[in-house]
Amino acid sequence: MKKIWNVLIVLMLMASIAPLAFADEAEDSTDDVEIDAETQKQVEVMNNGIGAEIRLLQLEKSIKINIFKGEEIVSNLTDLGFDTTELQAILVELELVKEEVIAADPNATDAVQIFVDLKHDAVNLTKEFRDTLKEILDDDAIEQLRERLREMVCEQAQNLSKNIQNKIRQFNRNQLHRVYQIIGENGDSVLSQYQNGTLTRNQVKQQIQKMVNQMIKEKRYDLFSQLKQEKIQNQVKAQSCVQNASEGFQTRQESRLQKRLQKSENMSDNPVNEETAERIRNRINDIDTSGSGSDDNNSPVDSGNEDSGSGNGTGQSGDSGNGYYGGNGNQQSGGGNQ
Amino acid sequence: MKKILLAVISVLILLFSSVLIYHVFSEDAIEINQNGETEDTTDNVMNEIDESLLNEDDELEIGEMV
Repeated sequence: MKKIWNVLIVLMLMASIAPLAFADEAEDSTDDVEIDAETQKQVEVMNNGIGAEIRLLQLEKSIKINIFKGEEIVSNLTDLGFDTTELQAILVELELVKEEVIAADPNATDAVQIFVDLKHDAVNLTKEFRDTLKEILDDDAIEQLRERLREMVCEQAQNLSKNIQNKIRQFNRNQLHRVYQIIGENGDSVLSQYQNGTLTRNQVKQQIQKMVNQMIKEKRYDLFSQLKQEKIQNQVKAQSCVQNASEGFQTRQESRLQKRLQKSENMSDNPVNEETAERIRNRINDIDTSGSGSDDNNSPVDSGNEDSGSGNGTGQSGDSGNGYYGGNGNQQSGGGNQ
Repeated sequence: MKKILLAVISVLILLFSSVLIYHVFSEDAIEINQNGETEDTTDNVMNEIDESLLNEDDELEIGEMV
């Protein structure tokens, strides 16, 4: 009888262990920060200089658009007598991040790390701006503002878009050149036409498709496996870069903030710059006290857009809005701090 | 009593082996599917090419200010 009970217990234990045995790889228990899937995907093209340049330019463009919109919001709120010191301080910080993005070297070995770090900062500052704005304006006013901003265009960003498009064409050209190489055909003229805009990406793909259709089965298989192999190699490289970027994240964040603090302290004395320095100082203190970091600002990198409208604006700047924002009681009698 | 215990043990063995068999078969199914995917169809080649390219209007999202 006792034996049967023992067997029963062993079997039950085995049954309870089974799910663990089949479970996917266990989650890391280290304090490393996790980088979201979208950023990991974005990093995959950063294995070469052009890819890295594209991602940094795209980040610069997104920051420029947000600064442009932020300035528009601040200008409107200041006209209406709101205290915009904090919003302006966030914009100053965002400007500092933008400068760092512009200064980043896409060919540097730590380009991925820099991209992940600066994207994290830009996402967090954008979220902070949004949250601060929510404390100043009510939902209706925010909705009106959102509608207005949707129609605005940042010309600086438009110029950057052209540059990004050219870089993307160059990147795609290199990728397609590799395909032609594997096929054993010379695609130089087609690719030149694609790069100068005479042919679209789809037209080039159609031409390649024709060639692939004419290939014998084995050759087609070879092409497929080579492309797949290269893709996997890229993903492995990207994964390793992401791993590096997630390690020591907090230390790097602190060092970035220290540099920004120095810059902001060297700026002219005015309430906005003082607020900027104070904000950065507080954040450094938070990192020091939290050790491995517990605030949600330290988890890189979500796109931080959980409650916002869609897309970055593509219209022309309109008039500077008059008196249609409902206040939440933060209105000042004088103008905002400019 | 003994009969009940034996029945319980049999049921457990059955359950455990079903889980095991299911797992092994589903693994095989995935492998078969993966092998199937490597069929050298033009579509697959074109998909690979497509995935290696970037969209010209690709944007990087950092969130909205409002």
